[in-house]
Amino acid sequence: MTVYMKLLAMEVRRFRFPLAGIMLYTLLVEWIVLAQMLRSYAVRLRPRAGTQLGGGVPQPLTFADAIGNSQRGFALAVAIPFAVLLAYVLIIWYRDWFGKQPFIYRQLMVPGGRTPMYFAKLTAILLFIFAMLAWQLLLMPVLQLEYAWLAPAWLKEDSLFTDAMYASRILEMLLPLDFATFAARYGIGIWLVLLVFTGILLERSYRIRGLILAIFYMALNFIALGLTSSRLYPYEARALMLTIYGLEVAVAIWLSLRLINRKVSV
Amino acid sequence: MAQLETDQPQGVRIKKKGAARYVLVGLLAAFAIAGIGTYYGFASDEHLPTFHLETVEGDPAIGDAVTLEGSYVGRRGSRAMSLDAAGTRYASERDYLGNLVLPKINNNDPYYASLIAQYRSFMRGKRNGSIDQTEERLAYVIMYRKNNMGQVRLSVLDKTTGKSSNYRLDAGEWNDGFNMAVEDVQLDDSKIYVLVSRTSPQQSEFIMLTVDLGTGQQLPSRKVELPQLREGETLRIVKDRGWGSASPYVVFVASSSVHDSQGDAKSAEDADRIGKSVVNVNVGAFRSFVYRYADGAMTTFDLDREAHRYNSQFDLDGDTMYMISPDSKAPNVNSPPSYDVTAYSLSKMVRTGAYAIRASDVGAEEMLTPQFRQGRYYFMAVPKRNNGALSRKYVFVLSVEAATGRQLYKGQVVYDGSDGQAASELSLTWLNNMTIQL
Repeated sequence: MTVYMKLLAMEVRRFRFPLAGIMLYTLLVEWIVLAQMLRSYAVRLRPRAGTQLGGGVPQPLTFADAIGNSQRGFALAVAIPFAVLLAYVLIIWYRDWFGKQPFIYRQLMVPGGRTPMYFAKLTAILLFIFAMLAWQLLLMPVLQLEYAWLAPAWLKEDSLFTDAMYASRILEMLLPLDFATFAARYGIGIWLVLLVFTGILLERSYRIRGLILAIFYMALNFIALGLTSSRLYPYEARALMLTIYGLEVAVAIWLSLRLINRKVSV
Repeated sequence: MAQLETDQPQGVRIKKKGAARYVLVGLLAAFAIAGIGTYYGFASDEHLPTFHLETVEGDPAIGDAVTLEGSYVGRRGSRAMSLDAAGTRYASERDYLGNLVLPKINNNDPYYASLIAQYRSFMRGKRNGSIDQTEERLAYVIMYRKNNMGQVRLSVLDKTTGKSSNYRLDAGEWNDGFNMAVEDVQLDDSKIYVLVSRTSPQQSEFIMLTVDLGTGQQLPSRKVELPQLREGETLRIVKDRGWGSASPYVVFVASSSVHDSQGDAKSAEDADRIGKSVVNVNVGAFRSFVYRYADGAMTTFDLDREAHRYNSQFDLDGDTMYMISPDSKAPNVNSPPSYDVTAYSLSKMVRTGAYAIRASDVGAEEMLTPQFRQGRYYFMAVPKRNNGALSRKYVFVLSVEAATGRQLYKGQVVYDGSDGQAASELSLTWLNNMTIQL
């Protein structure tokens, strides 16, 4: 456990600057997108004294409306950091092999076995992903303050926090309002990370042959998860799928540990 | 050894600094758990408005069997929802994972769901087919094409013994350009009848397949001799849908339509231009033919020409056929101010009753979605919306005796929140496409 914690702390420390960078990026892009949105809306629809001229009838724009009107900007703000995190699922392994002085030599020789290394990398990835989600949740009140600060009085109208989350397709996708949906989506995500980890270790163990094996292994997992029969009732099919999911997760971890402990070499 | 001469900074070494090295991990973990936990604990999905169906008059048990399904549209986007006497349920993506791969089963159909609950083993794998049942038997029929031949797979469950029998019936040629389908299945004491249609853009014909349940033999199929359809006529098949007493008949209704305009509008284009709608699609020619399964007798039956409208709905209940038609002067035939109901005896070929159900009788403006079940009609009656806003008490649900129109039940959809909450919550809320599920 101590080795695992030390390795996890090391993985977190190694990614602290990129993580801070993508957090800052998200904050800046969302701030700018919202400010620009509010400004253009206010200019377009502001009431003009002594004249009927203007872009239209001034209408309030709630914070949720402002988020809803900034779909592309928010997609840009959120998608790139998550693309970075997805890429880091690969990088977290390959940087140890392909660095200037391969660090994997030292990692594989850490006393206490190689199992903690696998779980430290897995936990680190999940920690980064969930920390980014929490960061996005924290940004919403910050953006709400920005709205209160920048929006002209005639434009302001109250809206609920959940309305704002609903208004953005990308936020609704990343943070669905229903926890069961959240669990299902990130359950699939964790399953994918495990499969990719196993694929990487297959490739590192058997090189080109391992790459082919990894592709075959992943395809097999995808197909198996979709196995069902029209003769099954929905809850039976769901139980079957959850069983297959559990088996695939267990097999992915077992196979990865076997590879990392017995096959992987520098 | 080159591999040990790494230029990694000291920070990556395992031995260093005691507990301080875990601070960042602890902070990140606490931040993630607190953020996501707070969101799902306090802020997420529990703020959608809820409603329930409240009995105003009549037997509450009737209301307990009613579910309204539709969609919520409001500040929080749109969501499929259903409500009943117990409360409101919003469709979530709880089955997100399952919905990706699970077979689509008619589970939302309450009739299918009740059959699955009662006859779980027999109903396994049975979807999208036609069903009929008596007190003694349950029959399931599905049609498929094999080697340019129409084949019918028939399964019959003996409810008393729990044994099932399977039959494969030959329905004749199924050539390219034709479509074949099971239109109806009827059980009686000794036989099962399967009405099959064979249609092409140019013609349609009906074939009756019969199985003697005593011997298990398929009897010779016979063609249903329908008079030739005239130009412009379309054919509707009125059949027992298992929602009332078993009917020994199937009724073919042939009609053609005539578009009438309303007000100044003389055509659909004209109506669009002046902002009025062409609403009265009236019946031009209208003929009906009653077919009796037991002996194959076909009789022409002159229904009331005046009572029949383009949007008339027919329901069979044993010997009785009901025709329910929206008010002919309604600006929108899908939400008329009243419905006219006419009852006919198919054995005597006479009208046995006629009455009207009016929204105004319950203080409403429009009526929606009549549904027939077990000798009763169910309606929704919608009050006028105040400036387009949903009021705290909303749509009425009515149930009347189909034969007489006597009101058996009146319920109303009520918002669960306070009057104060209703003022802000319902001002931008719509409950759309609500239908009655029984």
